[in-house]
Amino acid sequence: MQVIVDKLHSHVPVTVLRIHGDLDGSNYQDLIAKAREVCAAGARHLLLDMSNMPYMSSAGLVALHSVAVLARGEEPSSPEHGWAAFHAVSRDSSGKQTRVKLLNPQPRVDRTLQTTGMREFFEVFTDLPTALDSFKAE
Amino acid sequence: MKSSTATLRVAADLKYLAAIRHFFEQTAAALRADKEAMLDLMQALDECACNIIVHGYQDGLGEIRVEVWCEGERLLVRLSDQAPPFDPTQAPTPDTTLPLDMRPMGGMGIHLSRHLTDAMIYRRTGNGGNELTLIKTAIPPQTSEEANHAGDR
Repeated sequence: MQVIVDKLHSHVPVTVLRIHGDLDGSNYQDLIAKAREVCAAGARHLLLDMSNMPYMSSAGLVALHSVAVLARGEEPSSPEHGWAAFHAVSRDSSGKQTRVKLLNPQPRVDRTLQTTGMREFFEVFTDLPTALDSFKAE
Repeated sequence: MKSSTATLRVAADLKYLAAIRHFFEQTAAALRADKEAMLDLMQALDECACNIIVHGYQDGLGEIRVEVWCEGERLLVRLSDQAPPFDPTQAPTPDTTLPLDMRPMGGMGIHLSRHLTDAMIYRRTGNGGNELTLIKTAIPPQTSEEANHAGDR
């Protein structure tokens, strides 16, 4: 799995993390490390491009959770502590948090998101311009 | 009728998860398994193997044996290890009536595995190991007879 970083700009600067390959228990911490790196450099709006990620295990869910917390400028807690870390994450009126969004999750990945309830937390887009346009200044 | 069994032995290391998935995918394809059902079982296998490595062996030394075969229309994969006893079939099911924020993230792998398989059977072996068999209807009826002989070719 590789993560390629693109810095784009719409209403606000958006950092796109393009994930290439399977996201599993062996490499989910690499995604967290990359998110930590870009957030330390000032990124606050992240778009995870899943177009080239055919598989994601439950370890990937931990990574998504952690990335959302990092985008808030905080350090993620242990996943055993539950989803409560999302409580204070900025959300829109639909209940989805607003700083990390998903682009093009593949069908099986989308199913994993739905089965675990994780999809309720993320806005999901199928095209890049619409995804970029959705990020607004807070 | 039961096909022959394909077996893979790997060290209990997360770096071999991709190899386990690849082995399973190749074997299931040779058995002419339905792709979607095969991918369901592959994810359950991956989740359970990851749990054995992280929670069973706790990232210490150990080995995992993976066996794949089919019986009629059922595709089966068995994970064997020598980690301390753990029966994932007895793990509590996440309470989906709880508000999402209050659900624990831990246990999602087992939750997914249950969701993706028809059955999970656990057995503590005589030599102190764990044996977990994951089962999914995955072999189309018209090819099940042929698949059961696939290992003979």
